[in-house]
Amino acid sequence: MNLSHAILCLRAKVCRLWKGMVITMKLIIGGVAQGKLEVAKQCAKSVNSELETWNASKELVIADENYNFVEELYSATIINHFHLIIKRVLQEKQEPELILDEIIARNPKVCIVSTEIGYGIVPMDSFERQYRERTGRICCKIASKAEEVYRVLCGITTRIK
Amino acid sequence: MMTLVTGGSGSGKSEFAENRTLAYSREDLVYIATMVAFDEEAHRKIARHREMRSEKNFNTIECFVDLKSLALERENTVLLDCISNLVANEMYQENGAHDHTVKQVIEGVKNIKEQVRNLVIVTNEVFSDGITYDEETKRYINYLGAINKALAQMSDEVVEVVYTIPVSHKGKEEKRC
Repeated sequence: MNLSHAILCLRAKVCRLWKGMVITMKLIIGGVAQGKLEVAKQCAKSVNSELETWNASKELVIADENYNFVEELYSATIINHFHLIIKRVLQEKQEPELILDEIIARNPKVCIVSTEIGYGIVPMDSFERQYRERTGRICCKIASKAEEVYRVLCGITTRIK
Repeated sequence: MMTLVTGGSGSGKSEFAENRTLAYSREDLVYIATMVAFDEEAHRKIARHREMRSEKNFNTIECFVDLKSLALERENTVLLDCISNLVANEMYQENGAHDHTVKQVIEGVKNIKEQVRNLVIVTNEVFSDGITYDEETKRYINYLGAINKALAQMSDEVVEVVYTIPVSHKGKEEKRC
């Protein structure tokens, strides 16, 4: 192994370590129309400025349930309306849990925004019931992976993790 | 000591409540199950909870209505899961308390609390989906709301579980999992 190769390896290692320590997945939750996306944009901007040394020109890319290709979720800076993405995926008879696993593996520093939908009466309709329950379990998994979880109420952000 | 655990659907509140119960005691554990297995989905839910509880050494008692009838031991640490089922049972089961559901559930919980060392209760947040329901469902929501308020007052701590993360509303600040 020559010296330049060794330096490159070391640099890659430091970069990975640094990224792993500083930039991690964030989850932003709350009711409808509380200002969750604004909070996500602030979070994502601070991620970008931390990243500046490595990637100065990175812009905010926001994906939501209207994606054309699922791959868009694996490169976005913000994934908005995650609960509606879960709904769409369930309607398409796919497994949203698998998509989340891909996001965790390929887009580990993304900000995920999801509306809290579990605070009501158990729905009569079996699809709605399943959608609500699985969204809860999936968000539990995101919350356990995320270093930071924020809850937004009336535009006020509380960090709960 | 009494802890009230609340949260939305699929939030991980039952698992949190189990761990909270084990933090109180590892011995003389009693689990009060309230779900009537009326269909396949309920069976699956019950099986999932049984699986979570296996090897945690709980003695399971089924109690669908009338908590007042339960006789427990002084050294017991009890987990009651959950109030939202119990309210539905009291309202709609033939041998339930019907119009007297609120009083029946609150007095039933008092009866348990007076008998045992520790009590952890799981309830449910069903109050914020913005849907206007029929009169019967409104009545259920009002009953559960009134009971939750009374239980929170009786409790030493009240914890809301948000996607596995405990948010403390009363009592000491929870250690974050």
